[in-house]
Amino acid sequence: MLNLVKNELIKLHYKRKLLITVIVLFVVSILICAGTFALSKLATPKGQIKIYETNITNLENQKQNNKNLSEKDIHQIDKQIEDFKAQIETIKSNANNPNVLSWKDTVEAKTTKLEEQKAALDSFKDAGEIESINKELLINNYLLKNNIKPLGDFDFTSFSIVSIFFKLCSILLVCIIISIITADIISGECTPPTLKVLLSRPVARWKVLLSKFIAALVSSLIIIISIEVLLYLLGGLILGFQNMSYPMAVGTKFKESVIQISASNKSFVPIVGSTYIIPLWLYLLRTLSMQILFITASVSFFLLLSSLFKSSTLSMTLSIVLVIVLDIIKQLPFQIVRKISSFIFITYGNSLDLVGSKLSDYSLGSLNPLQIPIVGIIVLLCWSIGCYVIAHLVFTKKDILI
Amino acid sequence: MNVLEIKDVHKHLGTRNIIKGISLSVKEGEIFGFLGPNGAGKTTTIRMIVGLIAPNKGSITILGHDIQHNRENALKEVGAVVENPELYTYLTGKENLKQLARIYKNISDKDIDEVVSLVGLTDRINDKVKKYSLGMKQRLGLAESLLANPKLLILDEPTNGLDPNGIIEFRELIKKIAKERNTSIFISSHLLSEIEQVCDTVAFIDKGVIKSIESLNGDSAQTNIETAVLATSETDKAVKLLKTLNTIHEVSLKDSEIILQIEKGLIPQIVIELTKNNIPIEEIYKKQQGLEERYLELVEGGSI
Repeated sequence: MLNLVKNELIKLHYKRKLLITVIVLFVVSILICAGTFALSKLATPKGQIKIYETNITNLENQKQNNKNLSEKDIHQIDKQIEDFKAQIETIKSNANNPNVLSWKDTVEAKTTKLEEQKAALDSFKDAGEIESINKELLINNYLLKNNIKPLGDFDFTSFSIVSIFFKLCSILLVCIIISIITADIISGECTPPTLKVLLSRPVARWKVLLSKFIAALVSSLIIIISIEVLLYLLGGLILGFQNMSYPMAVGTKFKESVIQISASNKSFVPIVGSTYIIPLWLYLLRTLSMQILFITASVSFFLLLSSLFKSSTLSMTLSIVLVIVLDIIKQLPFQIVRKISSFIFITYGNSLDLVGSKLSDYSLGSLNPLQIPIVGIIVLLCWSIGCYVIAHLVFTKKDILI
Repeated sequence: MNVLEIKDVHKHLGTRNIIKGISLSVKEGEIFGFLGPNGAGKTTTIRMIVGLIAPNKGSITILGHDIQHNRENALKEVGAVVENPELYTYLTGKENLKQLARIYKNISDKDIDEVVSLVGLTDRINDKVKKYSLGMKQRLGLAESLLANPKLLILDEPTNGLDPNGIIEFRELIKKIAKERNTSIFISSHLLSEIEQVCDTVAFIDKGVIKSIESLNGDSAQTNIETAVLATSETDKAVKLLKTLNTIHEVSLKDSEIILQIEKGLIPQIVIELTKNNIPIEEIYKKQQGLEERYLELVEGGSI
């Protein structure tokens, strides 16, 4: 069996598949690093002042060049310019006088304010807002208790780079990488029909299939995860590593809302008090496990496609098209599509957000309340096993007529 | 024990009946020819022997192991080239062989080098297969099938695409392998001459049915009559003379050539008789005992 896996890995290597995927992922990672670095530069006081200054110049140019402006327009432009100038002053004075308040005082002040807001909300009507305030409160308490300095909205770290990577690449790019490796692992042996040679040897067909699955899975996992680790390290070196005990909110559950907003779509609200906090390292570990599961499901799915078709072009094209189509339709605002998409593996591709229950977060454009980690685990497991079993039945039973 | 035993095998693909109940057996060290026109079911039979497709009815046993129930043991000592030798073109010749060697447990690098030199590819074995000529690919395919030192070697249209030189070399190689390794060889072909020159036994197959299984060496030994063909400018005179000779059983004319059925070994005598009577001989030759006629007789109207 080990020898068969070795055979498959050698074939993947000589087909240049591994090299291509590594290069693609590496280039994308470098671009993401560079992009995040540029963003972090913009977020500094200097960067912001620069933006405001550019805006002022633009407005002044418009005022001079455009002769058709009414009195009112000119007045408004002047006002806008003054606003920007005031902003610049504020940033400058903030930068010159380091904060009088320590971060602890700020956090405490924020906490008090949040508590007040929460008290004013109706637990029946505003469950969503209450739970998001709860989240912030939990995080603030954890920060205070463990003496961890909070990160501002514009503080970029190694973790931000990884989140950006997941947001941009975790479904399309990862799936395409996996399909490049897997989608022709069987169909590719139909033209020329080398499969014939392989299957007329004293080896059980199920072993051939399993060896192909293992080889594809192992190479996909190694390539994708090692690039992610590399990205994390690279990000850490450029922007600084995030404290591994930094609090992360997870575990939010959802229920059907009593008050429905529209007749066609059910609305859902978070269950108040279901969110809890875990440290960053545990969050990353869960994300990694979830992604391994997602990669397994994808490999299994593409292996099935590859076992169904005799043309490698067809199985390869179909797998990439299917990924794109499924990724698009899951975002359509139809109840039925949403329901179906909850049972499709592609939906659970962003492991990072899935672990934080953010996929089902109503505030992020109302996706699906079913998309929480436990459902993700079940769906991904079902796809991994289901697709593999069908591929097994197809592959071990069919007459090889190529 | 027979090396290969096929019993009443049927196979249909979709609604078409491809194989309609064939039975045959191959003995140890025998070169068995499987002759039939294109589309007769030769490749389908071979696919069933090596377990690529499953028969709908009947059984196939190799060295006592049923291919359906004991596939791994049955195929352990089988080497096969089904249709064309299919190779990983992006790998070197050596790596192609290594891929297969890894499937078996006991094939060393030395064994690989041995088959490579047997098929004469030692110089080019480290080149990528995409740079190989067709003949080299055929040879590498043969090397693949010989790798496990098989007791049964199955070759499907093995000389397809080989040049005349290659065909002769190939024929010698087959005979050598059968003799030295005592390997049974099962060759399918639509080429009469190929089968005639290497096989001990031949099975005629047409439209999924085996018409006849005949021993090629045995046939000519049994009878003591052979056929000779004579060409001369004085046909009439020659026929007249030949009819008077009692060693000649039959004289007939075909396309201005005289066909003679004579007792074995008496052709030189006839030459002497003809010369004595001043009949000029343009050509005289022994005709191989009628595989071609037999073929046409069995496979009526089939395209060759």
